[in-house]
Amino acid sequence: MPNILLTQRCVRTCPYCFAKKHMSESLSDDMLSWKNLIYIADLIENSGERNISLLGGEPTLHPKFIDFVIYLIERNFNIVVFTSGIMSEKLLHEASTILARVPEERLSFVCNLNDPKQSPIAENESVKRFLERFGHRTSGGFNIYQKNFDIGFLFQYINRYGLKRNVRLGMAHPIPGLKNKFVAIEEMRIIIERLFSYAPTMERLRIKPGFDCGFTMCLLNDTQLGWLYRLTGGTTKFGCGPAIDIGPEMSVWSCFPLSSFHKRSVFEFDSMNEIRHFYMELHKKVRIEVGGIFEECDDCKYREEGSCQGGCLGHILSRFQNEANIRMPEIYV
Amino acid sequence: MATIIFKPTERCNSNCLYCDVVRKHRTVTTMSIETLELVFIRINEYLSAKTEEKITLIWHGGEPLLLGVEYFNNALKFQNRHCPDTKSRIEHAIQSNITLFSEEYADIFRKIGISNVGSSFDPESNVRGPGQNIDSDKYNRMYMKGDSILSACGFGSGLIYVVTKKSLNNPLRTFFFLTNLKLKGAVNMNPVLVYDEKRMNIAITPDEYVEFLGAIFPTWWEHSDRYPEINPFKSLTKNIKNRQQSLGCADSGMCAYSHVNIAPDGEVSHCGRSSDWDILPYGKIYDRTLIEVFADEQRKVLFKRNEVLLEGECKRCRFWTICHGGCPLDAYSEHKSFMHKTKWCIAKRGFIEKYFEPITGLRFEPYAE
Amino acid sequence: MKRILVCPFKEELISQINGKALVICLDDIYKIEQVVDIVNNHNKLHCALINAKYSLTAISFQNNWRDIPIALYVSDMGSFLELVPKLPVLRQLDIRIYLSENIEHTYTNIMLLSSLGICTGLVIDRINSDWEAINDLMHYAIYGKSSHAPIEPFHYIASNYNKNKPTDFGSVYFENPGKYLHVNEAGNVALSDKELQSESFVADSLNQLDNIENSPVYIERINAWREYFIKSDGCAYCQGWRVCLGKFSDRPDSQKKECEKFFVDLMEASEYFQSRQQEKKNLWQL
Repeated sequence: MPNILLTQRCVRTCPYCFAKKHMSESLSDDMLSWKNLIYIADLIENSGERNISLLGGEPTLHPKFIDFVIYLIERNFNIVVFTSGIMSEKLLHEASTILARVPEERLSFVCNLNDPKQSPIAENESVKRFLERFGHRTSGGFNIYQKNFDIGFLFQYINRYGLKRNVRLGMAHPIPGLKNKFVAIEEMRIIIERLFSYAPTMERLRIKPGFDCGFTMCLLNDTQLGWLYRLTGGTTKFGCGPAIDIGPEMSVWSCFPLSSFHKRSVFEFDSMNEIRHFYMELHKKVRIEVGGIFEECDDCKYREEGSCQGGCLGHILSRFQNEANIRMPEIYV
Repeated sequence: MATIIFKPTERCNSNCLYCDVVRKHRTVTTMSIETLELVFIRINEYLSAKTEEKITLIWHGGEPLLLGVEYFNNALKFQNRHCPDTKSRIEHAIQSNITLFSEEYADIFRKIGISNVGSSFDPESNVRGPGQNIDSDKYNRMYMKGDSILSACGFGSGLIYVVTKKSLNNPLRTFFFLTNLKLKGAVNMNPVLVYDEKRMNIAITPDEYVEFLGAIFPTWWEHSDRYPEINPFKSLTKNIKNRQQSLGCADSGMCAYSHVNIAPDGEVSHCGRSSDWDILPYGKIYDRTLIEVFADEQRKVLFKRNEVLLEGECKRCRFWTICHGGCPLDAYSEHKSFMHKTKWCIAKRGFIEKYFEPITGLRFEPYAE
Repeated sequence: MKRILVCPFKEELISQINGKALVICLDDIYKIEQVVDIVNNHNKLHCALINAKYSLTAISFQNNWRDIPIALYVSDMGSFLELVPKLPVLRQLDIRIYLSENIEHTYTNIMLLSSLGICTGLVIDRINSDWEAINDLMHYAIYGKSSHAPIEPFHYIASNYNKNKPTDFGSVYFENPGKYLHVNEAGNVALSDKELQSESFVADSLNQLDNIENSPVYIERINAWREYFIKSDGCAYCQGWRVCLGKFSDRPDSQKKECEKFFVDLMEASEYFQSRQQEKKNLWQL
């Protein structure tokens, strides 16, 4: 599902933010235009795809956010909006009046929630207002960037605001060339252990965890994998591949951590498949050099068979930055 | 097929900058009705004797429409009277400035079998037009009026554009002008041929002609469907790409067999140019039949020319089959002898080598004639 | 040739016309059902030409206008969100929405409407046209791979383009004396709306309609293009002539290169469009 960035602007400055590098390089007033939205919609439609994610920055900051959503709905796309949930009351009112008419299966939200204990009160209040209105069509999302994280609040939100009973769990990854907060490779098992400490609660509340990209299969033991299988029906993926992000100024890149890695213009491609193929080939080239984030990845049969991709490419490309340029030239950022 | 360049009048209502005809000051400028009748008698004699032959009668001038509709009616009458069994082998064509064209002409042209009229136009001011000052505005208005009637009457019309010094400023723009004017008609872009010192200011060199064509050719090649009948490009493409010999009289090396010119006073010579410059006179139509004219001993020099050039100046030239040293009359005008190639063959070769072949990626390979 | 008459919505005038195709001009879109009733008695409604002084979104489109051909000029598109509820009905109508270049965001709004299945027309009426924006819109109209509604005049030109004939897109705006004649309330006839307004009539009464082609004014008008060649006007030297036909000769010289580039691109696009049409395989019919 391609990601369209409506704007680079955001209301928060999360220390782990994947988008951080990209946003700092962009003009603050850079907003996706109508013309470009129509172009992107045509491109995606022509590629036979019907699902689109709207991202930012904070996508609701785009002055035509509601118009864009309705337009894409009119074009028969299914939309997922990735939002912080922080928005003005006026916009929230307008959104809840207009977007409420859209069938739930056509429009949903993923709300990136930060631990309220570490967030300003005003932000928390705004998020709660959003969830009160849109909780029923929202999945909670949480980005892990430190070992001692706490996701207990997610379960409260799910119960209190009627959020969907699945949570999107992501690990913060390094952005090559930038110093963001991320989970170091050696911390990953600790993270997993902590995550699985919430397993009984999730099971009791029938909440399904969904792993975002960059997790490796070997981080989990067989018991944990079995539990996941039982809870999610085997839908968990240990992936890392081109997500395809399209910026407001019509640049395109593989995913946020790789926003500087062979960034191109959408206009250079004729279809989403072409874009995906382009970045997939680059991913493959990197994986030829280094299989995954662990040394064992090189010979891992699960990676060879495609059950696991070997973790986030951001880690690998960051490593390349600290060594002599002796590899295939295409793989350097 | 025999071609008669038929000039029943050398009067003209235009004083085109480059034209030689009106400068000749003949004593007889319009052919008498009696001579006209004799022409058809001569044609019938020829076609009766040569039962496989056809004749194309190209009405030329001067301006043939100055003759009046009645003159053409007479021509038709004489054709019907004197050529009852041969008239199906007579084709009429006409080269006119069309400024005097009318519905009445349309009627007689249809009867005589003319469906297409060759004309001339020049976007540059004071190149074509009546009077000492060459009033091109007046010419253009009259031309357009004639062209609109031609078009309304369902006639096709081609355009000859004479490339002069004035054309060299912006060849491509001139090309667009001409092809805009004749969206479906033919446009021939021919170099001006000037032989007197007074008008050398409009003359162009073969190299300049090459550059003129070269400025246009890439656009034509890219969009030849849009500009379908543009010469010399189309004929060259036929010659080179399709390997079909498609040559005008100047390049065919065959004019000795095919051409004759009849002037208003009944004087017969080889072609329009020979008549204008008093070269290769074949006598009077009153005294000689067309069979005699086509068998005239003077023509042998033209047969001989092909042999001389092939062994001499044109030896091993790979363009011989599409050039033949160019027009013999041009050669005579330059060298006072037919036994030379003309300077315009350099233009043909220059254009092919500098523009045609590199742009198209095609190479002209000689073929057997 | 039977021409279509463009005339005002005046019952008395229409009652004098018999057996003609009519374009009826009116300001009030809500009268179009009335138009149909009156016109279709003895004539045929070619289309209702509405010159609305309001936004597209201000119009309450009705389901029962479904079979009425409508050309609708509006002052602007209005808010997109207000348009959305109207789309289901609008998509059912036989309607083309015309937006002027002078309206802000026109190019984008036309794209937007087209992408949502609404036929549109751009009115190129600004003295300083943004030819680059027009060209972008044309590219969308012709090369856009995604299915969208036709955008005029581009679709008309691409469909009717003939490499060796002039393509006059005046018909998109009812300005083509070969196809449309303009009639005023008094029954005077002109070859264009502009000439009607300036009282340059080709005929004083509807009785003379059958003889229009022999009128000197008509003949002069049909041959008016020749003036560019007589005067060696810049437009006669333009590569885009065969599609533009000098329609923008009154624009400042500074624009001429831009409009030429646009029309040359449009010719290329039309050739592409037609080659695509030819590629379409026509299967045998059941």
